[in-house]
Amino acid sequence: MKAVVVGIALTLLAAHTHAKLEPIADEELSQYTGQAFLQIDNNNVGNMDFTRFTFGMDVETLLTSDLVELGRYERSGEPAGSSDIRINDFALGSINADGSINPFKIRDPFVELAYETVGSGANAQENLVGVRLGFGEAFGKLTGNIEYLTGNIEVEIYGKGSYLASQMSCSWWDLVCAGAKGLVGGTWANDDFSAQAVLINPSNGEPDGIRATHVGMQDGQTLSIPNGSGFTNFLLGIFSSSNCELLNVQTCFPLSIYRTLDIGNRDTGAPAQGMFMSFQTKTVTWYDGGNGTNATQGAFMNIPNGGIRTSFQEAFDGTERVRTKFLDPYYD
Amino acid sequence: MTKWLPLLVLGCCISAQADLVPVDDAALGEVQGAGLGVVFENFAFEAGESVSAGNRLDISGITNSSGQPVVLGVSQFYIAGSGSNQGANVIGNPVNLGRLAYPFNLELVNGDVLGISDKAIFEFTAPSRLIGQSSGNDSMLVLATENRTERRFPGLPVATGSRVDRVTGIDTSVLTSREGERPDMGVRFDVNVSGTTTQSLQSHITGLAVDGSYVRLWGDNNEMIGNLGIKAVADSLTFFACNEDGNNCGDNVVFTDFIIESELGSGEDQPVTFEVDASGNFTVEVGSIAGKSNSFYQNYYNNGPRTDVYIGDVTVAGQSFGSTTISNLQIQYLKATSRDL
Repeated sequence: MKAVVVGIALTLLAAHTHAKLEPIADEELSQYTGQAFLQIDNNNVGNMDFTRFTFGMDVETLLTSDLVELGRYERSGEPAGSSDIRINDFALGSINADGSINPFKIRDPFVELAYETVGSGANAQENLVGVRLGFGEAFGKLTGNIEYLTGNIEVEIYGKGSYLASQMSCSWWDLVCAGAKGLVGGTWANDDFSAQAVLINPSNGEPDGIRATHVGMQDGQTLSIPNGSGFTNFLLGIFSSSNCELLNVQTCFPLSIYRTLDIGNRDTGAPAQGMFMSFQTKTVTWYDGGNGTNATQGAFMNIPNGGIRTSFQEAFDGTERVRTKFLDPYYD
Repeated sequence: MTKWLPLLVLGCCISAQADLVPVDDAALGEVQGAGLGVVFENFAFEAGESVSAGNRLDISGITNSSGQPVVLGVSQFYIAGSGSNQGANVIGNPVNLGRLAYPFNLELVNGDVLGISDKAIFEFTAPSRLIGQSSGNDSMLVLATENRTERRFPGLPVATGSRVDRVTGIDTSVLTSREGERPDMGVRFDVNVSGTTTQSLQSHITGLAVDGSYVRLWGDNNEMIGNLGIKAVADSLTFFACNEDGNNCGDNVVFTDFIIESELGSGEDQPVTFEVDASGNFTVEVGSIAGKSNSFYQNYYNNGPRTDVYIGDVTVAGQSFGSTTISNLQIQYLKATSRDL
């Protein structure tokens, strides 16, 4: 009761001394719709249940970190002391030449939990087997010195035939290579070539998404000209990457030469969709819009197809690190 | 007599209101209150065991992407002393939250002391920290550094300076909270979609300390401005799932030696603001540091607000997934605006 009286007293006091404060009528308050920024979804696939918390948010940021290291433990077949993911001098966003900030943009971030039901009936046990932080959309510059990366990174490489031909080095006796170089640098010189690159084992050209140090064309992968004829692409299909080489052109590259990656399509401004970082106690298939991504045990990063596009020149030479601090040790 | 005191206060207020005059920021900024220290001795809290009997907090008004109603249930919250055994030993197992020498503190601080000129700062602080014997500052993390050897592009100069390479130790001498002042806590979450609950998630913390955390708030240009410091350490964080009845629980996912030290905002130079617009959506902004002087940047990158996160080990059913480190993360700009989904 005392509290009530004190409350009334304070209310009167407030009413007399702060006349500008006015109550909001229910009718007006009901117009507010901001509370719909959170959605919670439950989905079931086989013996797996997923609970996703999606936050309706537009985020833009410029941040830097000395070290991002996830999952540092000894893993069979991997170097001692290595990590699932290790990136030094990490940054999201950049600083333009005029000193303005070019932020990294995220839309609708979400957190998702994966549960596995083991057994059946009354003895069915629920296991928490995975958690991920994802982004509905992401766009901007991701910078860092990548030492190890575990995940699924699909890179689209594009460029003119003329540049590709300049990288081909054919032995005098290799008539097939010479012929191909003539076509690429002549007939197809102004055509736009395309290739897909993934995390790879540089010693054999096989895909290797665990503690990867290289990205490149996997064995059997071919070049294509998306706007070319079927015959043209048939011809190109004859030549495929093998042991990180295609027509005497190197097709695997160390991740460390890519200091800054463009997330999303920098030419069209289209953001990358389905980017996430996750941790699983066993292989978990995460679903986005009906498409599944198999995430291996441990820490995992996913940048889906189209999430990164880079030119042949950038693929061969690497990409320059952008400025991420106003006093930047890489620039000042 | 005491029951009439509020009425006397009321009468006093009504008759004396004409003498109340606003105090400007500059005058208020001179105020240096002694503050109010808060200590909870022999504290234990248990929100109730039986979820089905209604011992829970239901957060409704949420939908899924199909528009079906979703209820997020929060229950079985507890705070207890060490050895709570995931909520089984709460009553009779109290904990001290703070102590007289190192209490939780509410205070009105002269902004000049904090480098925020002519402002009165409302400050809430957890028990303070000490300078660590190993870390050499008020961080619990003992860090090893390495010199940069990379270039931003082949042929260009090698970058300068050093950066964090790894965490080599945890310095508990930083904490003022003693063993009996670090509570165990736990909570259970249930997600109910259209009346169906599939499983529940339980989270348990042991040995929690939030020493060094703070919230500072002040006003300027009709905005609420703040600086935040969230510093927490826990001996362990354990997560596991159970069925909808809270039974048949699965393997524990255990984070050991969990540490987060996060500072958001830096005085007036990098304010943190929170606004709600007419549509009901909100914006949280950590101010941009663009356009400052070189001396500011020098100080900001060496001593400015930073975030460090460290997990000593993650284990699941006895299998180790190793440590996780995010070190010297600095937010030079952040703007997050909510929108309707």
